[in-house]
Amino acid sequence: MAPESHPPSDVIVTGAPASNPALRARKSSSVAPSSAEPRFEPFQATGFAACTGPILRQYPRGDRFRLAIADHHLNSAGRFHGGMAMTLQKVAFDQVAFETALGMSPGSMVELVTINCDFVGPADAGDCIEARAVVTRATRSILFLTGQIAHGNRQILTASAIYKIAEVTG
Amino acid sequence: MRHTTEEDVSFLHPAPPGFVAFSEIADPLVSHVGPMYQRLDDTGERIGAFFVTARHLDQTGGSVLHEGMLLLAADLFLGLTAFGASQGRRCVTLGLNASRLGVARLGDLVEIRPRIDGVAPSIIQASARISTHAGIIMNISSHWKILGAS
Repeated sequence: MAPESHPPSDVIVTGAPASNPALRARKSSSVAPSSAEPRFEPFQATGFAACTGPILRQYPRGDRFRLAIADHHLNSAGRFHGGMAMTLQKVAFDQVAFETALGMSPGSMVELVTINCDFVGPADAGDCIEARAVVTRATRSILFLTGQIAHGNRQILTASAIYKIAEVTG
Repeated sequence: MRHTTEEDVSFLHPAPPGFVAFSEIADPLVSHVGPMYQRLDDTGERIGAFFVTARHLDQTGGSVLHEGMLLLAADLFLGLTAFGASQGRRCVTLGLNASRLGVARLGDLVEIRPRIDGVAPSIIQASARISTHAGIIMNISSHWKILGAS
């Protein structure tokens, strides 16, 4: 697969309500808003990530991917759908793996080998959740990654994945 | 939001032969990315299916299915199978492991064949084989918790 690798747009979107400066100011007058609050921008305008999103990515090229859970992300019980959780985590894995491989060998691509997801907690409509992905080991042909989805400090999913690095020829 | 551009009207596929549109439960995410289809095989086992359309691809310009759609479809049909094995008690996914063997492409019919591997008092093991006309593209194993069971 070849995740999208587009230059950042000029439009910066804040994903979580808590990242809205006005809301932060109302929430507490004794704690100054952190200047380190990351910015997020829309990620992947087409394809399955767009169909199931919108997913936002930490700007620029961070390892954090946000999703505000909407009605179309729910399951038959009205909770956050496990299939959407795995999709969000895989989007994060894809992009981090692709950019890592590209940094190792320009022109390379990555292919998923395995992905393992453990569902450790629920989430609900209105929650703004965040997926992360980290490369824990890279060989010349294989990438090992771990990741997680959380809502604030509450974990929703933990995951690991293995990707194969493939050279693009011709 | 459905992508109803001229490039992607393929979700209007008629059901594949022998299948019916999935409408067993009201699942907002499945409705959003579907339609899904299902049928029973000769032994009464459920087989799920969907057509790969443009909105299922991993990005513009490619013709390869995003594996997130496979995980999502597997979660649906494994869950329904686990529900049947739990004699109608609600189940939630504990873990799911997927091994990728190949790809599905635009227009392919993808079939999901779930099966029960084991049932403990509160845990169900289930696996699925996902294939296209070209062969198996993913194998999945999963564990489900039966809610209310100890």
